Amino acid sequence: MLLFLWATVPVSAQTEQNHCDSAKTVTLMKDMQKKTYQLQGVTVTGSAALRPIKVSPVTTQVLDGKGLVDAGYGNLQQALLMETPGLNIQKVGFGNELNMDGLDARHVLFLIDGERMTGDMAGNLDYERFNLHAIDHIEIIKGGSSTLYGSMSSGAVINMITKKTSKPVSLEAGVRWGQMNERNYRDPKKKDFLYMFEKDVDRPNLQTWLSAGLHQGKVTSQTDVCYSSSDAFNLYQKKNDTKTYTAEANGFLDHDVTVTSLLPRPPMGVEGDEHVSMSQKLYYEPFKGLELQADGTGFFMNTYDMIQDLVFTQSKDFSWGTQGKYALKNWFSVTAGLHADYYYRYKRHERRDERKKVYNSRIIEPFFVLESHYLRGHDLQMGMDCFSDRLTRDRFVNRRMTSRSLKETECYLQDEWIPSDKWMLSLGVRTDFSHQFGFMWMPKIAAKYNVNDHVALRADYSMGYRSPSIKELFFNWDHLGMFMIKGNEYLKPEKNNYFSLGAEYNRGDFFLNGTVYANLFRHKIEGVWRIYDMQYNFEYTNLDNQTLAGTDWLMKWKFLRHWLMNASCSCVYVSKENGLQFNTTSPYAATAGLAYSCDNHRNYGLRVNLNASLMGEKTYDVQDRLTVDGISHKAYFRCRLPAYVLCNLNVLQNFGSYLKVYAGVNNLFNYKPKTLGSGLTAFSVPATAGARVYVQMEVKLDALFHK
Amino acid sequence: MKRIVYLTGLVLVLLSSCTEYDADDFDGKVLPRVTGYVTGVSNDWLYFNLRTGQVFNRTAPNQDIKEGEQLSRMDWDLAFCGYHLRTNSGTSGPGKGGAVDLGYGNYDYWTSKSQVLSKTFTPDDSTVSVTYSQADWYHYLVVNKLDFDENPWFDPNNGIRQLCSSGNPVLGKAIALSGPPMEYTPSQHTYAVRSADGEHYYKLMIVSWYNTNSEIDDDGGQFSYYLDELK
Repeated sequence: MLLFLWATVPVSAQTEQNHCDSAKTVTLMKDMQKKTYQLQGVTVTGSAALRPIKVSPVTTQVLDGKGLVDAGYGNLQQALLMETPGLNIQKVGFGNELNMDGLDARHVLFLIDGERMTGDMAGNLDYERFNLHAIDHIEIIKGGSSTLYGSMSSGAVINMITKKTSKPVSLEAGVRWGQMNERNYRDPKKKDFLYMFEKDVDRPNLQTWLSAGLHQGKVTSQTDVCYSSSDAFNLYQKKNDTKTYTAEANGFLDHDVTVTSLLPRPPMGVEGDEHVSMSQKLYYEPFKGLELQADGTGFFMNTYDMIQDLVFTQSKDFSWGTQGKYALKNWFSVTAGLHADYYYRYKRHERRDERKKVYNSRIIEPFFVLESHYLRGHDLQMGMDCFSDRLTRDRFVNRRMTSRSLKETECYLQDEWIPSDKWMLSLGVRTDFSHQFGFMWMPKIAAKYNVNDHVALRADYSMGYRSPSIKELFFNWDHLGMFMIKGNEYLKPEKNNYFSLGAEYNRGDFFLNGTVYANLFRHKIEGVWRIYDMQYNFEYTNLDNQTLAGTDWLMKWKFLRHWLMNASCSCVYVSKENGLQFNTTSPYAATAGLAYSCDNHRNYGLRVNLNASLMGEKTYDVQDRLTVDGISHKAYFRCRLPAYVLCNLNVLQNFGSYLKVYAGVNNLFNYKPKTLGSGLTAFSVPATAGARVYVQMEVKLDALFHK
Repeated sequence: MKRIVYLTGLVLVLLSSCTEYDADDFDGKVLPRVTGYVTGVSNDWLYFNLRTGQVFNRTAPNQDIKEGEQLSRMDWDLAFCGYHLRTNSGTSGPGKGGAVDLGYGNYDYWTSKSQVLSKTFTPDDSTVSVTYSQADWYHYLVVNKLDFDENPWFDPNNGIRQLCSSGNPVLGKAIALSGPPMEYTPSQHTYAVRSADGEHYYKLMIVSWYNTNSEIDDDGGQFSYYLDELK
């Protein structure tokens, strides 16, 4: 929370990490550029033209990586959950699930240093791939950003900028131990039929990491490695499921009907895992004006669910990239590069050394960017991406591994114009061409007006789009004759028009930012249940219009020298469809934090964080069938999930410049969901086992050896 | 510098991860075939005479003992249909069978019938439902003139249609079903089963819905279990 910055640009960078002084310490970069470059120790998202904060038109939330670690977060998912209002991200049942302001993971684009990743399940990546200790900062841009970032960014863009050392030698290592969520088996024996299963689901909550940097002359190297394991656990519901069918939603009823299940609700499993992520980046600047970069990552993960089916999931990912940038004075610069990502998923047997590949995807993305600051007051930029996506799965044709692919070519052009000290305008257009969907173009216009030194106003319009995914187009999977999941080759890309108005007040140690927005979707792609051929079919289709509108607020206040308070809230309205609400988001959510820091004592520092995340009550309708007087009707039951608050407490002690010791409690007030939701609504409850303690130690080895 | 190298090496060793297959080989039993609705027959019961080792309906449903015939036969003790079980007792047969739950694990603890003689064995009753096969459900719809699309065999919120049958309510908890997606979770409890003649006692523990030797992605149903006589 301490590190929570609302920079008011689409892209921003920090040259200093002083989070108590919100916007003033932030050096900002200009808008509308996709790729991320690391230049001379300063992380830059977008082009290299520095801009003061006052003239930046789009609101961006910036979370500092070091600050997130200092606040006691164990991984990226937890950090985003606690720091971003309206964002829900967790593992429930079978895999990750993300929701943000009424939009699911298919509308939230995750990037690492501006690069896309592959290997998603319904838009959800293995978020474990992101090593929190390798992140310099995170930029979160809510709203439609397709003009800048292309498909999948119609809801938000979350761009993780990784570390690059500026020290001759840097070496950090750390270890974290957390209390287990649930001990399922005590003393597993090799004779047990489920011996491997019993061991795997009860892995310790352990994390260790290493970060090594080298900066010598023209060469810079950055290496990050992280190992982590966590245990699987169950969520429990004491009472049997109840479903309420309202007369409002079901025309054949003259009063509300509540049906209680005769059977108890089985526990809902939350997966544990064990993973290693590695990244290596090399930078070389042979002479002034030319910068070269090469990078590679590796990720291996075993996922252990609570299902006793003799298999667990194994996944691995490799990515590599290279890019070069040449700048000629301030006339222009040219950047070209190539990025590739390969993802594999297997089912691995728990009793035999065998595995079977079930998923394989890759993306290859060459890109080119030309930018110029030659014209006074203008930053011009144009770029081109060729995006090639291929997915091989056993769920396209008769359970055989079969490949499907998509290719898109995207171009964009933008101009940022500063006509005066008070105004900044940003104009852009992006085009997309593919054989599948034809030609599309999306404009964007944004403006910022500085009323005075403390108050600024913003307005933004952008058109966005999301191309149907390969799964949405080609999936064809019969689940044991029970139901079919069917893709639709005739899907059209969904489009959205995003409008926002914002205001910001910033004086001394007080900062307030508010935005109201509307996100109007056309042809939104959703999966719907339809009954034909004597069975349920989950079919992807273009729905009619959907409107999301809301407001986001953030306040930050530093007071009494050692105290920092911040709060944020998000309210969202999602339009109903034929009087029914299928969207599972809560209309309101908030985060808050209070931090005390004290560095008065020589070689000793203390920092205490209390963070809270509130998710409001959720009410939505779920498609079902209800038999009345022997007649089966298509029906909808209303699911209500109560509001909840998760609080974390973290105490950090600094000893000298080389040792940090953490201790804390996650879910301080031991909140446990009482209801898991009825039927297929299980993804909307918080996946927490209750209050759990942790300890963590971090050593700066370079400082220690220097000492 | 050496210290850094050593420390780095140590950390990398800690980071290394491998999957170690060190479990003992399974020495239990596996059902000879999958039973239940997936064979197209709702009441597809595989019968065992535990006293002689004889198996009925070994290769196909209703091959040796048709549904209903079990009610008058004393030559079977235990039967399986999907995740449901029968003993030769109560509503399932004329025998003196029945079952009792001996609690979680501890399979090796139970060695003698004297340990279970004093326990109350529960006979079969009609509270147990088996899963309708698609064919039987469609037949039911035709007979009752019901609409196929309004009465789908499977419902994402409620699962597959169920047919009232006869089975042992204690052994009915040996495997719990949840989902969709369907998850079959054995209780890992040990159960005592009494034979049809009331003279023999057996201990039973179902350890997996799956055949331990089957291929990855097998749909299950041919489950793995331990079964031994209590002398």
